[in-house]
Amino acid sequence: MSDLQIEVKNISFAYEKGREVLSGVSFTVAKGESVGLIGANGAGKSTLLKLLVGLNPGFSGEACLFGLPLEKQNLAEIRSRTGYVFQDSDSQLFLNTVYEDVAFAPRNYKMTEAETKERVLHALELTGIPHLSSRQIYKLSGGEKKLVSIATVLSMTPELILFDEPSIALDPKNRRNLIRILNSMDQTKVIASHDLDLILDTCGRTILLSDQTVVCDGRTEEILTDRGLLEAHGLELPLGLQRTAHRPE
Amino acid sequence: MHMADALVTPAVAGAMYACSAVAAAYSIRQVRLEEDAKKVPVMGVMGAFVFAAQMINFTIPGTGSSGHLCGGMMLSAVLGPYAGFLTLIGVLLVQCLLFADGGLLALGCNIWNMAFYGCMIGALLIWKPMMKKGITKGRIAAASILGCVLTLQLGAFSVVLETTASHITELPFAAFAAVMQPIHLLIGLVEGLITAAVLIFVHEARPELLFCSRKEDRTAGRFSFGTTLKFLGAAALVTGGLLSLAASSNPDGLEWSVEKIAGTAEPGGGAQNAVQEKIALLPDYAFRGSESAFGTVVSGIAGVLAVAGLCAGICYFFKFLQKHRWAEVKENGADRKGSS
Amino acid sequence: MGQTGKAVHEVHRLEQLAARDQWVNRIHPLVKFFLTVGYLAVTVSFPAYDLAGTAGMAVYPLALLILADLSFRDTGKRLRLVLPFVLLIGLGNLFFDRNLVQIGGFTIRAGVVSMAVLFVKGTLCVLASYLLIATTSMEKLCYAFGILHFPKAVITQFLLTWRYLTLLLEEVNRMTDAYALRAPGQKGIRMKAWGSLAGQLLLRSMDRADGVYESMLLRGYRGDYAYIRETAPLRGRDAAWLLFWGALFVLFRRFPVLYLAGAGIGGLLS
Repeated sequence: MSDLQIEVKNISFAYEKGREVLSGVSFTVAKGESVGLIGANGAGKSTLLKLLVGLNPGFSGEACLFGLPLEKQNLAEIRSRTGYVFQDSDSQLFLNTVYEDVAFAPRNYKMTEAETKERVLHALELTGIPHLSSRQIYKLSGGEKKLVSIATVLSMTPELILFDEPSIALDPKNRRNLIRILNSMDQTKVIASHDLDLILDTCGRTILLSDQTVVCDGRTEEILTDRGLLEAHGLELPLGLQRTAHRPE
Repeated sequence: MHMADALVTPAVAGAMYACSAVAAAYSIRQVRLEEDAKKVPVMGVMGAFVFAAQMINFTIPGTGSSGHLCGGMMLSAVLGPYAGFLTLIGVLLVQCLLFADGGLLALGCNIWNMAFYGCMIGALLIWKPMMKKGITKGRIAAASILGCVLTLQLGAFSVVLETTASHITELPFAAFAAVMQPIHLLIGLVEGLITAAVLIFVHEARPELLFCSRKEDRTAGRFSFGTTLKFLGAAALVTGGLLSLAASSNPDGLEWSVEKIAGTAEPGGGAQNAVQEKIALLPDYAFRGSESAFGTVVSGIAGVLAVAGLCAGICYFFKFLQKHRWAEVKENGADRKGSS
Repeated sequence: MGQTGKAVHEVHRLEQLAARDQWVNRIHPLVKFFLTVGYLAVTVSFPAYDLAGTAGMAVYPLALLILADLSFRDTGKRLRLVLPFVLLIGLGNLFFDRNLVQIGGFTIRAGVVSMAVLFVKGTLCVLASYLLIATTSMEKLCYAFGILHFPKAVITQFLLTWRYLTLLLEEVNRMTDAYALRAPGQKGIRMKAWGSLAGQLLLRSMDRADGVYESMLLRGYRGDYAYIRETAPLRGRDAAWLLFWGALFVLFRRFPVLYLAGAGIGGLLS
């Protein structure tokens, strides 16, 4: 039991009364797993990820991270052990230079400047961008911003990382690079995306979210090859698996 | 509306810096950034928003020209007076550094003329009382237009006062004011209309974003009499200080400087100097010739200290009064002591 | 390029200038900040008719312009924005200051002199502020503000404004472009769209602020982030730079240096 990093039981959540975004969601994620969270637009992927780090309080049901119940007094510890990569890198990166932004978390966790520097350089190395260290954020390309976003989270040395649509707005080359980096990371990962090819390349297990709840939870190859299942929930087969090119008239 | 550095003397600039600094320090305490960490990013991003929104050209119907936002009233209607004021300071600082709109020296003046009136007077004296019974479209429109017109009039009048007090121009006070006030009446009207349009849109889309939209904001208006008194007091003090500066310090006896550049003396400065020496704390030109600069600097510094001291003293006096009159405010006072 | 495009361009240009690794850029930001403020105060404190004295103050911006290797043309462009208002006020002097002065045998109105002084002061002040920001990055300036004990939250707020400035300007650019493409021939935003256009921008900015806050929160932010801890001690040459210019400002303010120099040259020639 102790190696379960996420334990969610029967969770329901609504932004406005009477309009549930999540209802009766249950799943677990074990240490070291890489789990894809798929679903059509508006299926509640982002809402679920935000809920896991306490950004959506007021849900019903039970949620534990690292064995700690998701309650106010545990939030600080849960957040210090969890990294969250936002969909919009411009929200994630709010300081002016790469170094400063990556150093934000270590400094908040009261590291000395020397420790901070070590953490920053290590994080930049893991993401393959040590050369960007002194660059200004606004000068970065979309792909670079995404890698810096991941570095800002890695500098916290989290045990669990949640990714919200990491491949959105990346060109093929940057996307391939992202996949390589995701696969090189040994932390527990939950990747929310409707880029099913990315999930296929990075996650061993997949959870399909549709109609506010978990429809299917199993091995990625099985779920992502099940055309009927995917299409019933507003998704399509990964491009890599579409043997016969489907050309719409 | 932005004062340039060249239009103020160090004494006026320093005095206005002191006033703005007092208002800023008070705002920081009121906003309680320590308790609500979210305000920092909201203020930062909204500062950028105001800056960007100022760039939009709004076509004025029936004319070929376009109007612009200044943003004080709009910002305080969303963020409240104190956070709005601090945000606008950030905007003004960026403007003066980046686009040379206003200047580093005149920043104190600009903060007062635009941010103080726009946010404090606009939010506390107009928005808050008018929204006490709930926010409606009509009230938003009325408050926006009234607020923008009034705060721009105050701002424009302060520009006239500050320039006159600096004795930079020979433009007679009345003539200068007669030009500035009507122009800013028009600008205020247009800005008021734009502000109203934006705030009504926000009210319809996300009503909870508006200041005073929650009950506790409105009921907190119980102290508004004390706050009103305080702000009117501060505004009156600054206006008075500027007027007296204008009246008492003729920064360069005409006679002396004309003599210096041309070698011929013009009659007329002597009598004035005699009067001036009686009124001013230190006579402006205590020594003749090369020593004069020293006298100016000293009297400038003395002026700054005097006005700043006076301003701070009166603010503390109001705080003292407030503490002893309202029990609720007593708690706040204790809080503040603890946090400072 | 529209107004917003120009503004974005200007921000980027200044950031690039400030990021250059140069002697002037490396001077301690606090020293540059103090010098600039001191310079402005001294410059505007010159009497209204002391044209020669005021003009003498041009030495500082001139020296910096040259030392920092900045383009005179770009620098000149910045003056366009500010000087009209100063000139307008100065025009008042032309009409209302009816005293006469004699310069080299000519009798002219004193107002002409005071207007010229105002113009020179305006130019020099704009130059000095520009030189500060063109040689000092906003982070370094904020570092200096931190040393001066500005509240941390306010510094963070200011840096966030700086960071999101270009982003939101570009957003305005896109919105007004999209508007203009669908409303050909209109010069600005017509009244019907006033509220929704700027209002949309406001709501998007609020959402952006929410996102930024969440990002800060999830990385351990609790409202007390001290921005830059860079340890940049005040070096000897920083102090020397400060003392040198400080002394020079005082010298120029207290003695008619230009006259003395002029007289000296005159004496040598005769």
